[in-house]
Amino acid sequence: MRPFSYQQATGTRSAVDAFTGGPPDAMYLGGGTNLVDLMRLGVAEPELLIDVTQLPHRDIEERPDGGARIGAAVRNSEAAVHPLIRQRYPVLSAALLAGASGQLRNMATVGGNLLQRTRCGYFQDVSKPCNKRQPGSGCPAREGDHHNLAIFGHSQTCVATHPSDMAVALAALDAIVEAEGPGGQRTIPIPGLHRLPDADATRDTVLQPGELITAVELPPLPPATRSGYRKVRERASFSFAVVSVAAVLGLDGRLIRDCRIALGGVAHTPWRANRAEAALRGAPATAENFRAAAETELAEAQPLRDNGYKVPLARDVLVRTLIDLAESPPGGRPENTTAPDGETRGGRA
Amino acid sequence: MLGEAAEGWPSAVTGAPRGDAGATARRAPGEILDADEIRERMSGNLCRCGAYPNIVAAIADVASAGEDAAAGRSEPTGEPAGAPAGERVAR
Repeated sequence: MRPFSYQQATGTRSAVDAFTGGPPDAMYLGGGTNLVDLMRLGVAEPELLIDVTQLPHRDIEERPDGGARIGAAVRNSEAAVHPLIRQRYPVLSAALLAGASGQLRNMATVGGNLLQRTRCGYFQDVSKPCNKRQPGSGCPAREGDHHNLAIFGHSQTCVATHPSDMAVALAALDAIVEAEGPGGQRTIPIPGLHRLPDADATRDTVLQPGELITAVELPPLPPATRSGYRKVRERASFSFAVVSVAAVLGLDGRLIRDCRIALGGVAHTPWRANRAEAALRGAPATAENFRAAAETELAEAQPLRDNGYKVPLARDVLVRTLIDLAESPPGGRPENTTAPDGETRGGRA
Repeated sequence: MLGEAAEGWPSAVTGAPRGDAGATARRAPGEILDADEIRERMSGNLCRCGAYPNIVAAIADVASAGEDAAAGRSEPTGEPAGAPAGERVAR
């Protein structure tokens, strides 16, 4: 592991200044649950770490419009159990609880969760080529082990997936990131924060060098909107999603007034199912319509040699999530819906 | 972990066990802790190979002892009464 220096930032501006005035490969450090691993593996080799966990971004506030604002340094566990999040945004609480383990959630921050790197095995192994780690070196995953990688939006350059559960829920909620950088403050909608790999897989997000996430804003959900998260993984707990679905559903009688769906584990970004959403808005909330919408979305999938199983899996998990939400009492399902054993594959715990 | 359960913190298995997401009232952990719940809450905490069933049984035992104590019943003895705790919590 390469030696590095460490600074604890005391203010947002001074953190950004430390980055700007630091070595070219300085990095911000949140809970360290991913970055420290990557440093041990030699995947990340920052010369300077700027610890941003003590900045004043540690609160969850209610907004006057009924929305919420979560500071970037709030721990995942704290966000998951906060009454405001559990009551108004059950999809977010459930997604957080579906991620990692209790110990990791106690460390991981909201900002850091959004910026965690792919768990693609080639990215994490410095003895292998990887366009994300070393541009131009190639992507062995395209022909190699890609059973858990992308079915949407991948490129010749990269077929990695984004690993976060939380980001999938935030994408369905149309959450907005607040960032501060060398050029000042700006806001970025979460469905636009992460980017597809195209020809440059090195950048996971549209954030510019030195930009620091300071908070996540959650727009208010209309009353009686339901939301939920369903995750399928290779074992029952402590594992990344093979496929996950975050959905927000507002019904007007039997008609779908509002429908927002994001898929996890299928792309380099949380994948907003725009085609399914468009097919469902204004339509009756029936299993047939849910299925047709899911088929429409999955028709655009481009599975690789060994991950075609994700296509019917994503379709079925999407349909089941929407049926459950339509049948649940308004307000959503606070619990994660992973449970049924029949949905877990293999099981090597 | 038992403290978090007693505080009503949700988990991925049971979510909000008593429905009321904002509830802060304490309750006896044994009330809600079945084996699946214990496994989820211990996930990532300890090695999950050979000792695992005994860990689940031990936690269930401590949880129900705490429940008994809260209800003013017998002191925890460290020995499960009757059937082994692992069988009591098994589904």
